[in-house]
Amino acid sequence: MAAMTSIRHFPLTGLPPAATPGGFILDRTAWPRKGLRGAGTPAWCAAAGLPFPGRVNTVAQSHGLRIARLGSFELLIVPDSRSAAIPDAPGIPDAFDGYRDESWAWLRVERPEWRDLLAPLTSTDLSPRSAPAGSVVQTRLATLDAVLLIEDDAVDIFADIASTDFLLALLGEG
Amino acid sequence: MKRLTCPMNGVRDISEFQYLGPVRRTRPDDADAVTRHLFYIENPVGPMIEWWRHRPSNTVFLAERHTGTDEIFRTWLPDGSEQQND
Amino acid sequence: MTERLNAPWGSRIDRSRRLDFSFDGKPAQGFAGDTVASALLGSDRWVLSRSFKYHRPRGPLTMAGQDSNTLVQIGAEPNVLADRHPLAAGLAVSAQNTTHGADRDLNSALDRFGRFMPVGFYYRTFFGPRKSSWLRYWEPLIRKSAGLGRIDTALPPAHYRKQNLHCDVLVVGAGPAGMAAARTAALAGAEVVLVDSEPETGGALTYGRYADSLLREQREALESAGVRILLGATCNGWFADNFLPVLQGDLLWRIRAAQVVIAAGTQEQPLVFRNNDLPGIVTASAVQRMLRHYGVRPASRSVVFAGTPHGAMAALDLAEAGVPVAAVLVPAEARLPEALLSELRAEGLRIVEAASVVGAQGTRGNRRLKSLRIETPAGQESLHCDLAVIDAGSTPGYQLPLHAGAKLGFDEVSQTYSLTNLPASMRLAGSVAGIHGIDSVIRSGEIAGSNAARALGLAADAPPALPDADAGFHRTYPVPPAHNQGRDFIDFDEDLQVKDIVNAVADGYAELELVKRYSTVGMGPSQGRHSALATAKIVAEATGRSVAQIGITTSRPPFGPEKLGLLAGPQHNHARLTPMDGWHRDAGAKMIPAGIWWRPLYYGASAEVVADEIRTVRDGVGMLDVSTLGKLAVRGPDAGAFLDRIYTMAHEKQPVGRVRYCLMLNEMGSVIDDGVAYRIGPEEFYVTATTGAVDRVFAEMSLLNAQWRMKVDIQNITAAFAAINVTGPKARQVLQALESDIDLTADGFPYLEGRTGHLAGCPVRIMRIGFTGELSYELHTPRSYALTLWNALLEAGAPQGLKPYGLEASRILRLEKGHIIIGQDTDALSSPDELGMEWALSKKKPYYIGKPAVEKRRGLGLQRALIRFELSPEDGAKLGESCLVLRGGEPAGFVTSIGVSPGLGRMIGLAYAHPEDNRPGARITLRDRAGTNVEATVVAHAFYDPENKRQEM
Repeated sequence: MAAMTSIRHFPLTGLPPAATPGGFILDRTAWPRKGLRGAGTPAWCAAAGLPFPGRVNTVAQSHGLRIARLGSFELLIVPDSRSAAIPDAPGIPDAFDGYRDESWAWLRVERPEWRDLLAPLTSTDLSPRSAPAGSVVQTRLATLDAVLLIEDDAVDIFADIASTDFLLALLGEG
Repeated sequence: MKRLTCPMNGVRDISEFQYLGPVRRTRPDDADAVTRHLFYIENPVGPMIEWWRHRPSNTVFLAERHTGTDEIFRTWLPDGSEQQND
Repeated sequence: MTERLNAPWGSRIDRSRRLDFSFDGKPAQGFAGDTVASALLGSDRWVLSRSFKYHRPRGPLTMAGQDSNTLVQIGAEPNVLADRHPLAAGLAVSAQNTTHGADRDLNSALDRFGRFMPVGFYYRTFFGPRKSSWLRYWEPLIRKSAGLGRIDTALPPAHYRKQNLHCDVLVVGAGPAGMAAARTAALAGAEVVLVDSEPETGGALTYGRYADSLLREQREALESAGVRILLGATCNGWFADNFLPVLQGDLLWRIRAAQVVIAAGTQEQPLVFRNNDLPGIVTASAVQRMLRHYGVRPASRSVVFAGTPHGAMAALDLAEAGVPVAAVLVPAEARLPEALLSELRAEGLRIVEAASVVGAQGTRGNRRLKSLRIETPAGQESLHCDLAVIDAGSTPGYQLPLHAGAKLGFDEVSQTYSLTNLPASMRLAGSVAGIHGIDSVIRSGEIAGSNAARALGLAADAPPALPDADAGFHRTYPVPPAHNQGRDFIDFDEDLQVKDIVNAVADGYAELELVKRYSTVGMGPSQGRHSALATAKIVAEATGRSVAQIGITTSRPPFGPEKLGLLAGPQHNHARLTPMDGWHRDAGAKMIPAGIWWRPLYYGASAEVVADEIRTVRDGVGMLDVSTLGKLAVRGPDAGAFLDRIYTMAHEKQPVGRVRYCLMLNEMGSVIDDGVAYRIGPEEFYVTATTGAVDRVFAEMSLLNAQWRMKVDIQNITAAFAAINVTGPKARQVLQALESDIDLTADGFPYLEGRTGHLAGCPVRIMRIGFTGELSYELHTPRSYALTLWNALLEAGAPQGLKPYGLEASRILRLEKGHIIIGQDTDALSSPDELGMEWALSKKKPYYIGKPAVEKRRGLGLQRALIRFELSPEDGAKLGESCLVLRGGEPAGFVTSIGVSPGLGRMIGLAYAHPEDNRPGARITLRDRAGTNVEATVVAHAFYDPENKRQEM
């Protein structure tokens, strides 16, 4: 349970995994992450010592971080562990903070059958053939816009933080 | 349900997209051109170039669609050559 | 229960498991594996329902769910197809559309009054005796007798599921053609899904006269190919880009296929003759299903009309099962293979050549067929029988192809159908493509499967087509002229006879689509399956055209009935919550939906607290959760120039730290949104928008920048930031009680400025704005800090009496200042001039969206203006939003906002009115909800603190 003195509050913080459907949905909303946008993001990556993925909707790995390229110049940097540090490169022009640590909830479904859990919610093809590990799928889950980082046996879901309750209810409906 | 190919994200159901209207050849600062465009615009049967937006990724792009058969011939990202003035 | 035929007849039933159920309250029995209909037939019960109009007894016709005669009520569920529903122990089955069960329906008296119910009588009757007679008398009477089943409104909700499925090839129909197509495509490497509404694969191989080994071989070949098979699954339509719903019980499969093969078979057609609807008149495949699937002994004496080889084979099946066949009628136009005729003769069956059916006669009450009257060149003859097997040809299963844009054609010479103009990714296989000989059927499936695989880029052989051994033997039959005694039905669902269609044409409806609408033909549960062809033939004949010229029918999804539960969306409604949502609820707030968000309306048990909340703000300090406010991050070298083009005021040169009102117009010059823009830095703006419009504004900005290509990044960060409006004369004291790095003094932080820094340890952007008319600070903090800030404010504000307030109080507070709310006080035509907002229109800027239109509309003159009015609460007791403003007795406008100001003790509001009345002191007339005219006085912009002293302190 989040301590009363904690200054930041996240929607699901403190919910034990058992409270989430099936007990295999991990709430990482409170984990650090960084969204980046603007024409200066390649230069930002170079300055921060991080790779800039060559193709849109792919993920590059480096130093315990995953760098997902969401658009021509939009990135999402997520750590593999809570303590992994996300570097910064201040002063790069046209490289803007995407506020992704605040605007999105982050739920991780860690089980090999995650595709079965999501199949009722989206008509986008999430089969390994169409959505291989290391890819990014930007689609709608029910009525929510979502960004999915695909792994073989897990998926990270990023969606509107104000809709967290709804997202959890949807995942539980399946 | 119809599908549309987002140039960035690939094929998706049309429910993921927002239609933003036909590409205009207009002078937005000319009142007569705007009036003509708003109220007297032609609506021919045939290929039309339109703006679309993929909502989850906020990708704004162009599509050429036949207004009679609804067939979509191609989709592509804008490169600045689309804004055409009279 | 009558004895069933011995095995191998009855392949689907398990004779060791008897199941008890009831029909119309009386006990009944069947076997596991039976359907409800086959179990009833097994007890020699043929009457299952009563027809729609004439309440005639009806029984199974197709035994395949293709007719609606078998619609029954099972427990609480109406309109169940008894010939598809599996039998289970304890089912309470009852007939529909009848007063006293299947066997006794008092409404069957209507059958004798048919002449008073000609086609289209609905439109020409029920008009009197008085004007109100329809609503008061006829409609309730008809409503009571209308409908088929009964709905139990107390039923608890059922659970339905959805599943999305992608595949390379979807094959609809698991008969021999479908199985062949599926295995061929799968062996070539495609991911194949095969769908059939029957509980087993095999289609006609399971009930037709085929070698057992053939079914076994086809099934084994299918199994080893690795096809995903869905049984008990009905493909219910085709939608764009091969999107096909498949209904399987309580599960909806939403299937997207790259290629589709339709192997949906055919729909046998009835023959038209007098009393052709009697129980005991069935199709050829129906009797074969009765025999082979359920081992039902269908009759004591049968007659077979063999219009194609199928009928002849049904006759041989009856003979083999030991059911007496009185005659096999072969119509003059029929062509049957010589080998088949020899077989019939070898069985000793009487073949009547050049025979046509004139009519049928039923037992008392028409509850069962009693005899068939036939005509040959030798004359007429009556044949006693309680079963008439009618094989009058068939139409292909045209529905799905027609959904996909195919055309159904009819060839006059061969009297057969064909489907053309299929989309490239849809192929036909088997009898739906007009192929009937079993070898060529299987081969056609292999060809379709292989073509589908090759269209996907897979390697597959292209086997050659096999000549159809049955070519030329299959056809359909003409519709005879109307029988002078009627009851020659062409639509069983709607009880329409030949003369009804003829009369529709005579009434002036010469086009098929009009005939359909006037007569209601094809509108019943069978959806024209058995009536479309006959109707087209009658209309063609009556109007002197060919069937090809008439057209036969269109078909649109759904193919068959689908429960609304299957189509329903997620069980949970999409709701967006602010970070303080839990706090509001715990504090006893009445929450209301505001669009997709939930917001507090007031904090307390009833609306009486609103006046207190208003007073708290005016006299002390209150706080409102405005986190739903739209927020946009506009950043980059062109940020100011971009905003200059979007909004009406000047932003490019807006000084850093200044907060400026934003007004957005559309190209027509109508107001579509407003907010404020806070310039945080030379290349950074923080822009607010209304809760309801921000998504639209963001999409519009994204589109415009794709066109303008300015150096600006726009992001919708509405959910990333929470916002709290702290407002009231004591607001400054509350903020100053918190730890902060911001100079909050009046001089250090003037009105219409913004500051960035920290408050109570939370990063904040603060803006001084004037919505409520009191000293206000709109605090924006990243969402995760919101609760901390909210609680810190409450604690720091306790000495000042700080309390939260809700939407209702906020509404009145802004109304007292005369401020508009976009979408409430504006509509699609509201221009800045109408709203008195000319001050917000920059005169210097060469362009902003809507500028040319604003100027052009000025030239048209002002039609209306938004005015502020007030009157006593007693006079305005029955006034509300949308009440009309009258001028000279005519509507001149309407009320957009109204409420009682507790501080002023007056009812105040905003309304559109004639521009000439927009002067303080003018009197306007409003019509309240009781229809009474009341007078109100127009005031200048604000009701409260018109010099804005309080908000600028």
